Amino acid sequence: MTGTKTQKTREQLASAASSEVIIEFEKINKWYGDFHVLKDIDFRVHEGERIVICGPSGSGKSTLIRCINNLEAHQKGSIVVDGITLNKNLKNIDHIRTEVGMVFQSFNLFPHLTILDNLTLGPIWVRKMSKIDAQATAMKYLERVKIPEQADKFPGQLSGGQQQRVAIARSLCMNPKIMLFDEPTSALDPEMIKEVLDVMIELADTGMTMIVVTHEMAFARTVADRIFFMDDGYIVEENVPDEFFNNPQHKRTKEFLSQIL
Amino acid sequence: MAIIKTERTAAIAPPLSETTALGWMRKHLFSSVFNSLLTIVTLFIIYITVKELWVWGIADAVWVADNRRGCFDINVDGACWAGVIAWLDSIFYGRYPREELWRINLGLFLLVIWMVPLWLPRVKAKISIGLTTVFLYPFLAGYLFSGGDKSISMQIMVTAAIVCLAANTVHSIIGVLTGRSLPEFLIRLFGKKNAPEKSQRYLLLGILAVSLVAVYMFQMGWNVENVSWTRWGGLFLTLVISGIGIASALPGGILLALGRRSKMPVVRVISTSFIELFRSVPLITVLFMATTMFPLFLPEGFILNKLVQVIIAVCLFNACYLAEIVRGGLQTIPRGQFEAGHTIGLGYWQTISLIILPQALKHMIPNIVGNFIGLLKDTTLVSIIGLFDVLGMLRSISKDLPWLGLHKEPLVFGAMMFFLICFAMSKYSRHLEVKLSTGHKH
Ligand SMILES: Nc1ncnc2c1ncn2[C@@H]1O[C@H](COP(=O)(O)OP(=O)(O)O)[C@@H](O)[C@H]1O
Ligand SMILES: [Mg+2]
Repeated sequence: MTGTKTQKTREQLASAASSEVIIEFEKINKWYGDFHVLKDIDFRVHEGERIVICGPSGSGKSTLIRCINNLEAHQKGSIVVDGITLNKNLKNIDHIRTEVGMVFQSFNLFPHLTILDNLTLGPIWVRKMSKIDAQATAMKYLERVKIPEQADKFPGQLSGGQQQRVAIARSLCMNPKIMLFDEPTSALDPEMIKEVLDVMIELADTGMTMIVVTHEMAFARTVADRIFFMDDGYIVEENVPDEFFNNPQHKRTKEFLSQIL
Repeated sequence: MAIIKTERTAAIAPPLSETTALGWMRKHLFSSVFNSLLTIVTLFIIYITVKELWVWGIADAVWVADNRRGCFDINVDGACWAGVIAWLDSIFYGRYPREELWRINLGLFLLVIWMVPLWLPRVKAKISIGLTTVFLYPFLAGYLFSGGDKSISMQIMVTAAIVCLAANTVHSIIGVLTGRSLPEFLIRLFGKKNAPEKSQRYLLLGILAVSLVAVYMFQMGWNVENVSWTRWGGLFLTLVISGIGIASALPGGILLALGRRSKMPVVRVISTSFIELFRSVPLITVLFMATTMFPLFLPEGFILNKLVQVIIAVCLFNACYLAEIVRGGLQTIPRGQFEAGHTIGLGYWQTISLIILPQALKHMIPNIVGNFIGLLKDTTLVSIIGLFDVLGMLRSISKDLPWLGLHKEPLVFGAMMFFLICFAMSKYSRHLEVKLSTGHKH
């Protein structure tokens, strides 16, 4: 298969640039009760790589990325993140969560805190930063997502796009090594999608390792190093963007792309 | 075809009915014949009751007399408030020695001093002020009220409480005046503003240690006479029991509610059975059980006095009721809030205390205050098992020889007292709700 070959070379390219494997899934299986959500998931992500995951609704995308920071626990297989194996050890989980930032579809800002307090909470309580330093960091990231003037407002006073940018800044304040995005633009009005995607593109330019679940195919095409296509709990196809869009291998991928493009 | 207005019309005054009192009355009280009739009948009933009450309670009432006979001699139809007035001290303080009453007053005064900063603007660290009120004030008040010899641990706690009270007070005064906290103020005072953080911390710890030692020395020489709990009574006793109940019910209820939602089966089963057990039994039963059955579970020779048993029972009972309120409040918080907390690295307790509870408590305020009001009123049940709380005192007036048979007036007085306290609580809860919901928008 040509696809697999290109993917191999691409992965080798990435590993040549930086040989560090930062996320490794090995034969991951997960069930919700009797329902088999993740089936033999197997992949590696190298430091600095940008992965886009797409696939039909209910195929297990959210579940997959939520396993990376143990918001969901897997039942079979092994996950290694940043050199640490995820198991029942709470210390490991806590450590991994400080290294992995996550942005949700529904923003999940803390409505009772101001924007600034939303951003400084983690640095102060987890990183034990002084309040002044934490606020300086927070302002730096608010500027980076272009809303420093909203620092003293409450989340409810901001538009969806602004809230999502705050959520990105909140994760960045923890200085994570990996950023996970679970459909970050799906809850947004069309005119706000771009401002969030722009922030994500800038983030990608800084070399952050990113795993993004999204249906924004233009974003995937320009930013992703590799695209995973999930269906029914499997990663059905995995390829570089050009190959993925122009020469999809799997029948389900073709169907999906014809619907979405 | 649409009608398009070309000229701007000036704002028109609202219809008369909305602005004048007369207009309002016509709209709300006399809008139809039936409505007018209803209004008139209601007004008439109100008039009769209020008039009777006025005549009995104020116009014909007797305020000064030596005994009930004396009241009758002056006016048979009026209320005999003289009896209530003669017993006022007992209604408030029970049989607490009269020359020691200053201790109770001082205790209440200190509580006010301790808590006032919570409502002052510009004062920082209000949460720790609130926590020290709950965890340290009881030791100071406990010693003040019961007196006697202090055990070593009591001496330590009293010392800690005094130092804390002093620090709180100074901290609050500085806060109101300058907007700074006490540590910041001390650091500036000693000119260490630009010193490294470590030496600042040593300075503060040093000051703390010195004041602890000084206060410890002082309190060793400070002793008040022992007053047995059997002499505690009246409104004072009611407030002690319900105050401890209120202060402990919230933390207890939060722990039980979290236990009930825990992922650990043992914790969950224990919390759930505890809550269900206490909630399915009336308080009076719990009180009887506490006074008769606690002693059976305790080791030989270990005797708890009845008051402590009652307080423990009231605390457990209310913690269980509050647990269900808290559980309801926790359910209003979406799962995403927990997840967001976890993803920025906060642990379970940090997520709960920094993110979940502050939001959940806001939703629960009306229910919590309702529960506290119920608790205050339910506390009168302890008079059934032989404690002379405010109800017990009110009822013993009628058995006092000079005031034999004086039932009505003390109970009316008691009702007014409870109404005032409970009404104030519920008004304050309304105020809090409004304040918190306008504090930020969702
Ligand atoms: N907590 C849960 N309990 C039971 N089933 C779940 C749970 N979360 C998700 N599922 C199911 O697992 C499947 C995959 O869900 P998800 O990972 O959210 O899919 P996607 O993000 O690709 O839309 C869906 O069929 C969903 O109904
Ligand atoms: Mg999803």
